[in-house]
Amino acid sequence: MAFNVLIVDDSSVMRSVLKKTVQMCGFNIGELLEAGDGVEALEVLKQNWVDLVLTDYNMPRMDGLQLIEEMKKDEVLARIPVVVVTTEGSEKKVKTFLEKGASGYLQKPFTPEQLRIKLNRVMGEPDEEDGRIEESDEGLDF
Amino acid sequence: MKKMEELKKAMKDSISEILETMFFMPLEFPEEGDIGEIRKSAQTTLLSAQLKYQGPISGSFFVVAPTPLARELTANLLGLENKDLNSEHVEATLKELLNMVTGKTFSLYDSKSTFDLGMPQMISSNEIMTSLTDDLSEEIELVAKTVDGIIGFKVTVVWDHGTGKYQSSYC
Repeated sequence: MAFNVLIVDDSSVMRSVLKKTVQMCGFNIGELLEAGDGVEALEVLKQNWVDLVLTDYNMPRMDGLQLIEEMKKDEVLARIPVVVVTTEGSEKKVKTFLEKGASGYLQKPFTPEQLRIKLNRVMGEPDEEDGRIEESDEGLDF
Repeated sequence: MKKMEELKKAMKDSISEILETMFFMPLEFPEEGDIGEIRKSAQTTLLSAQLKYQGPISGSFFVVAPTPLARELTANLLGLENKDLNSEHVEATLKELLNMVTGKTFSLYDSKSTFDLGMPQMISSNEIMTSLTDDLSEEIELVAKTVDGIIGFKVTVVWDHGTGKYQSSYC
Protein backbone atom coordinates (compact mmCIF):
# COMPACT_ATOMS: atom_id res chain seq x y z
CA MET A 1 0.00 0.00 0.00
CA ALA A 2 1.36 3.43 -0.97
CA PHE A 3 1.16 6.26 1.58
CA ASN A 4 0.37 9.83 0.61
CA VAL A 5 2.37 12.18 2.84
CA LEU A 6 1.78 15.89 3.43
CA ILE A 7 4.84 17.91 4.53
CA VAL A 8 4.05 21.23 6.23
CA ASP A 9 6.90 23.69 6.83
CA ASP A 10 7.33 27.38 6.07
CA SER A 11 10.90 26.70 4.95
CA SER A 12 11.07 25.42 1.36
CA VAL A 13 14.50 24.03 2.19
CA MET A 14 13.16 21.92 5.06
CA ARG A 15 10.31 20.68 2.88
CA SER A 16 12.89 19.50 0.33
CA VAL A 17 14.99 17.85 3.04
CA LEU A 18 11.97 16.06 4.50
CA LYS A 19 10.80 14.92 1.06
CA LYS A 20 14.17 13.39 0.30
CA THR A 21 14.45 11.84 3.73
CA VAL A 22 10.98 10.30 3.55
CA GLN A 23 11.84 8.83 0.15
CA MET A 24 15.01 7.34 1.65
CA CYS A 25 13.10 5.68 4.49
CA GLY A 26 12.03 2.72 2.41
CA PHE A 27 8.29 3.30 2.61
CA ASN A 28 6.06 2.81 -0.37
CA ILE A 29 5.30 6.48 -0.91
CA GLY A 30 2.50 7.56 -3.20
CA GLU A 31 2.16 11.33 -3.45
CA LEU A 32 4.37 13.72 -1.50
CA LEU A 33 2.35 16.89 -0.97
CA GLU A 34 3.57 20.21 0.45
CA ALA A 35 2.17 23.19 2.35
CA GLY A 36 3.87 26.32 3.71
CA ASP A 37 1.71 26.69 6.84
CA GLY A 38 -1.35 25.31 8.60
CA VAL A 39 -3.82 27.25 6.47
CA GLU A 40 -2.37 25.84 3.24
CA ALA A 41 -2.21 22.39 4.82
CA LEU A 42 -5.95 22.38 5.56
CA GLU A 43 -6.63 23.30 1.93
CA VAL A 44 -4.45 20.43 0.72
CA LEU A 45 -6.13 18.04 3.17
CA LYS A 46 -9.57 19.00 1.89
CA GLN A 47 -8.60 18.28 -1.71
CA ASN A 48 -6.37 15.19 -1.37
CA TRP A 49 -6.31 11.84 0.34
CA VAL A 50 -3.47 12.01 2.88
CA ASP A 51 -2.25 9.12 5.07
CA LEU A 52 0.32 11.00 7.15
CA VAL A 53 1.13 14.63 8.00
CA LEU A 54 4.64 15.78 8.96
CA THR A 55 4.41 19.31 10.31
CA ASP A 56 6.69 21.99 11.66
CA TYR A 57 5.48 23.87 14.75
CA ASN A 58 6.62 27.47 14.31
CA MET A 59 4.96 28.81 11.13
CA PRO A 60 3.21 32.05 10.13
CA ARG A 61 -0.61 32.32 9.94
CA MET A 62 -1.33 28.91 11.50
CA ASP A 63 1.26 26.94 13.47
CA GLY A 64 1.55 23.18 13.79
CA LEU A 65 -0.41 23.02 17.03
CA GLN A 66 -3.31 25.01 15.60
CA LEU A 67 -3.24 22.73 12.55
CA ILE A 68 -3.63 19.66 14.77
CA GLU A 69 -6.48 21.35 16.66
CA GLU A 70 -8.27 22.16 13.39
CA MET A 71 -7.79 18.61 12.11
CA LYS A 72 -9.23 17.17 15.32
CA LYS A 73 -12.45 19.14 14.75
CA ASP A 74 -13.05 17.23 11.49
CA GLU A 75 -14.22 13.64 11.72
CA VAL A 76 -12.15 12.47 8.72
CA LEU A 77 -9.02 14.58 9.23
CA ALA A 78 -8.94 13.67 12.93
CA ARG A 79 -7.91 10.12 12.00
CA ILE A 80 -4.81 11.12 10.04
CA PRO A 81 -1.63 10.65 12.09
CA VAL A 82 0.43 13.81 12.56
CA VAL A 83 4.13 13.84 13.43
CA VAL A 84 5.56 17.17 14.62
CA VAL A 85 9.07 17.76 13.23
CA THR A 86 10.45 20.87 14.87
CA THR A 87 13.35 22.63 16.55
CA GLU A 88 11.21 23.01 19.68
CA GLY A 89 12.54 20.77 22.42
CA SER A 90 11.01 21.86 25.72
CA GLU A 91 9.29 19.09 27.66
CA LYS A 92 6.21 21.28 28.10
CA LYS A 93 5.85 21.89 24.35
CA VAL A 94 6.31 18.20 23.52
CA LYS A 95 3.69 17.28 26.12
CA THR A 96 1.31 19.82 24.61
CA PHE A 97 1.82 18.41 21.08
CA LEU A 98 0.89 14.95 22.32
CA GLU A 99 -2.03 16.14 24.44
CA LYS A 100 -3.48 17.95 21.44
CA GLY A 101 -3.35 14.75 19.42
CA ALA A 102 0.04 14.49 17.68
CA SER A 103 0.99 10.87 17.01
CA GLY A 104 4.71 11.53 17.34
CA TYR A 105 7.42 14.12 17.71
CA LEU A 106 10.89 14.44 16.21
CA GLN A 107 13.34 17.21 17.01
CA LYS A 108 15.56 18.76 14.36
CA PRO A 109 18.30 17.91 13.64
CA PHE A 110 17.37 14.32 12.81
CA THR A 111 18.95 11.52 10.83
CA PRO A 112 17.10 9.53 8.15
CA GLU A 113 17.24 6.56 10.54
CA GLN A 114 15.50 8.51 13.31
CA LEU A 115 12.76 9.58 10.91
CA ARG A 116 12.38 6.02 9.61
CA ILE A 117 11.96 4.71 13.17
CA LYS A 118 9.38 7.38 13.94
CA LEU A 119 7.39 6.66 10.78
CA ASN A 120 7.53 2.93 11.46
CA ARG A 121 5.98 3.52 14.85
CA VAL A 122 3.30 5.86 13.63
CA MET A 123 2.36 3.97 10.47
CA GLY A 124 2.59 0.57 12.09
CA GLU A 125 4.93 -0.86 9.47
CA PRO A 126 6.88 -3.92 10.59
CA ASP A 127 10.60 -3.25 10.90
CA GLU A 128 13.02 -5.47 9.01
CA GLU A 129 15.41 -5.69 11.92
CA ASP A 130 13.45 -6.77 14.95
CA GLY A 131 14.68 -5.39 18.24
CA ARG A 132 16.80 -2.70 16.64
CA ILE A 133 14.10 -0.08 16.86
CA GLU A 134 13.74 -0.22 20.61
CA GLU A 135 17.48 -0.01 21.04
CA SER A 136 18.12 2.88 18.70
CA ASP A 137 14.97 4.85 19.47
CA GLU A 138 15.97 5.52 23.05
CA GLY A 139 15.20 9.06 24.05
CA LEU A 140 13.11 9.77 20.97
CA ASP A 141 9.92 8.07 21.98
CA PHE A 142 7.52 10.91 22.55
CA MET B 1 28.92 33.51 35.18
CA LYS B 2 27.95 29.85 35.37
CA LYS B 3 24.74 30.20 33.37
CA MET B 4 26.52 31.89 30.47
CA GLU B 5 29.09 29.09 30.44
CA GLU B 6 26.26 26.54 30.35
CA LEU B 7 24.63 28.40 27.49
CA LYS B 8 27.96 28.53 25.61
CA LYS B 9 28.43 24.78 26.01
CA ALA B 10 24.87 24.14 24.80
CA MET B 11 25.53 26.35 21.76
CA LYS B 12 28.76 24.53 20.92
CA ASP B 13 27.14 21.10 21.27
CA SER B 14 24.13 22.06 19.18
CA ILE B 15 26.22 23.71 16.41
CA SER B 16 28.47 20.63 16.21
CA GLU B 17 25.55 18.20 16.09
CA ILE B 18 23.56 20.17 13.53
CA LEU B 19 26.44 20.87 11.15
CA GLU B 20 27.58 17.26 11.29
CA THR B 21 24.14 15.60 11.17
CA MET B 22 22.27 17.76 8.68
CA PHE B 23 25.07 19.46 6.74
CA PHE B 24 27.76 16.73 6.79
CA MET B 25 30.32 19.34 7.82
CA PRO B 26 32.71 18.54 10.70
CA LEU B 27 34.05 21.56 12.54
CA GLU B 28 36.18 22.73 15.43
CA PHE B 29 36.01 25.71 17.73
CA PRO B 30 39.28 27.64 18.10
CA GLU B 31 40.00 28.70 21.69
CA GLU B 32 40.02 32.37 20.74
CA GLY B 33 37.91 34.05 18.14
CA ASP B 34 35.16 36.54 17.53
CA ILE B 35 32.92 37.04 14.56
CA GLY B 36 34.67 40.31 13.65
CA GLU B 37 37.49 38.09 12.36
CA ILE B 38 35.17 36.59 9.76
CA ARG B 39 34.56 40.03 8.34
CA LYS B 40 38.27 40.84 8.29
CA SER B 41 39.31 37.56 6.69
CA ALA B 42 36.40 37.21 4.25
CA GLN B 43 37.38 37.75 0.63
CA THR B 44 33.73 37.96 -0.35
CA THR B 45 30.30 39.05 0.84
CA LEU B 46 28.84 37.83 4.12
CA LEU B 47 25.34 36.50 4.73
CA SER B 48 23.73 36.98 8.15
CA ALA B 49 20.50 36.09 9.90
CA GLN B 50 18.87 36.91 13.23
CA LEU B 51 16.28 35.09 15.36
CA LYS B 52 14.71 36.75 18.39
CA TYR B 53 13.69 34.62 21.35
CA GLN B 54 11.77 35.10 24.57
CA GLY B 55 11.53 32.97 27.68
CA PRO B 56 13.34 32.73 31.01
CA ILE B 57 16.13 34.48 29.09
CA SER B 58 15.53 36.71 26.11
CA GLY B 59 17.47 38.25 23.26
CA SER B 60 18.64 37.21 19.79
CA PHE B 61 20.64 34.52 18.07
CA PHE B 62 22.74 35.47 15.03
CA VAL B 63 24.66 33.60 12.35
CA VAL B 64 27.15 35.01 9.88
CA ALA B 65 28.89 33.14 7.07
CA PRO B 66 30.83 34.01 3.91
CA THR B 67 28.64 33.43 0.84
CA PRO B 68 30.75 30.51 -0.53
CA LEU B 69 30.45 28.63 2.79
CA ALA B 70 26.70 29.33 2.94
CA ARG B 71 26.39 27.91 -0.58
CA GLU B 72 28.38 24.81 0.41
CA LEU B 73 26.11 24.28 3.44
CA THR B 74 23.08 24.62 1.19
CA ALA B 75 24.42 22.17 -1.37
CA ASN B 76 25.12 19.63 1.38
CA LEU B 77 21.70 20.02 3.01
CA LEU B 78 19.74 19.77 -0.22
CA GLY B 79 21.98 17.28 -1.99
CA LEU B 80 22.31 19.63 -4.97
CA GLU B 81 25.26 20.81 -7.03
CA ASN B 82 26.53 24.26 -6.10
CA LYS B 83 25.80 25.51 -9.64
CA ASP B 84 22.11 24.59 -9.27
CA LEU B 85 21.55 26.78 -6.21
CA ASN B 86 19.90 30.18 -6.18
CA SER B 87 19.98 32.91 -3.53
CA GLU B 88 16.58 31.83 -2.18
CA HIS B 89 17.93 28.34 -1.43
CA VAL B 90 20.97 29.80 0.32
CA GLU B 91 19.07 32.31 2.46
CA ALA B 92 16.44 29.74 3.43
CA THR B 93 19.20 27.34 4.47
CA LEU B 94 20.98 29.91 6.61
CA LYS B 95 17.69 30.79 8.35
CA GLU B 96 16.89 27.11 8.93
CA LEU B 97 20.38 26.53 10.32
CA LEU B 98 19.86 29.37 12.79
CA ASN B 99 16.40 28.05 13.68
CA MET B 100 17.81 24.60 14.45
CA VAL B 101 20.77 25.95 16.43
CA THR B 102 18.48 28.12 18.56
CA GLY B 103 15.96 25.38 19.28
CA LYS B 104 18.58 22.73 19.99
CA THR B 105 20.60 25.09 22.19
CA PHE B 106 17.63 25.79 24.42
CA SER B 107 16.62 22.15 24.66
CA LEU B 108 20.17 21.34 25.83
CA TYR B 109 20.42 24.40 28.09
CA ASP B 110 17.05 24.12 29.82
CA SER B 111 14.51 21.61 28.50
CA LYS B 112 12.15 22.29 31.42
CA SER B 113 11.49 25.86 30.32
CA THR B 114 9.60 27.06 27.29
CA PHE B 115 11.23 29.51 24.89
CA ASP B 116 9.21 31.26 22.21
CA LEU B 117 11.21 31.56 19.03
CA GLY B 118 10.59 34.26 16.44
CA MET B 119 10.94 33.78 12.69
CA PRO B 120 14.54 33.92 11.44
CA GLN B 121 15.26 36.93 9.22
CA MET B 122 18.12 37.92 6.96
CA ILE B 123 19.96 41.01 8.18
CA SER B 124 23.08 42.91 7.13
CA SER B 125 26.29 41.68 8.71
CA ASN B 126 26.80 45.19 10.14
CA GLU B 127 23.79 44.64 12.37
CA ILE B 128 25.49 41.71 14.08
CA MET B 129 28.65 43.67 14.74
CA THR B 130 26.72 46.61 16.15
CA SER B 131 23.94 44.74 17.97
CA LEU B 132 23.21 46.53 21.21
CA THR B 133 25.28 45.51 24.18
CA ASP B 134 24.65 47.56 27.30
CA ASP B 135 25.24 47.13 31.02
CA LEU B 136 22.28 44.80 31.36
CA SER B 137 23.12 42.46 28.52
CA GLU B 138 25.73 39.83 27.86
CA GLU B 139 26.73 38.04 24.72
CA ILE B 140 28.50 34.93 23.53
CA GLU B 141 30.36 34.79 20.24
CA LEU B 142 31.49 31.51 18.73
CA VAL B 143 33.57 30.99 15.63
CA ALA B 144 33.62 27.53 14.07
CA LYS B 145 36.23 26.40 11.57
CA THR B 146 35.17 24.02 8.83
CA VAL B 147 37.10 22.74 5.82
CA ASP B 148 35.09 25.15 3.68
CA GLY B 149 35.60 28.27 5.80
CA ILE B 150 34.68 30.00 9.04
CA ILE B 151 31.14 30.48 10.34
CA GLY B 152 30.16 32.64 13.31
CA PHE B 153 27.34 32.51 15.83
CA LYS B 154 26.34 35.02 18.46
CA VAL B 155 23.68 35.16 21.16
CA THR B 156 22.67 38.20 23.18
CA VAL B 157 21.08 37.80 26.61
CA VAL B 158 19.63 40.58 28.75
CA TRP B 159 20.39 40.27 32.45
CA ASP B 160 18.97 42.49 35.15
CA HIS B 161 21.76 42.74 37.71
CA GLY B 162 19.49 44.56 40.15
CA THR B 163 16.99 41.76 40.59
CA GLY B 164 19.20 38.85 39.69
CA LYS B 165 16.69 37.79 37.07
CA TYR B 166 16.87 37.75 33.31
CA GLN B 167 15.00 40.58 31.68
CA SER B 168 13.21 40.43 28.37
CA SER B 169 14.49 42.45 25.43
CA TYR B 170 12.16 40.76 22.97
CA CYS B 171 10.10 42.94 20.71
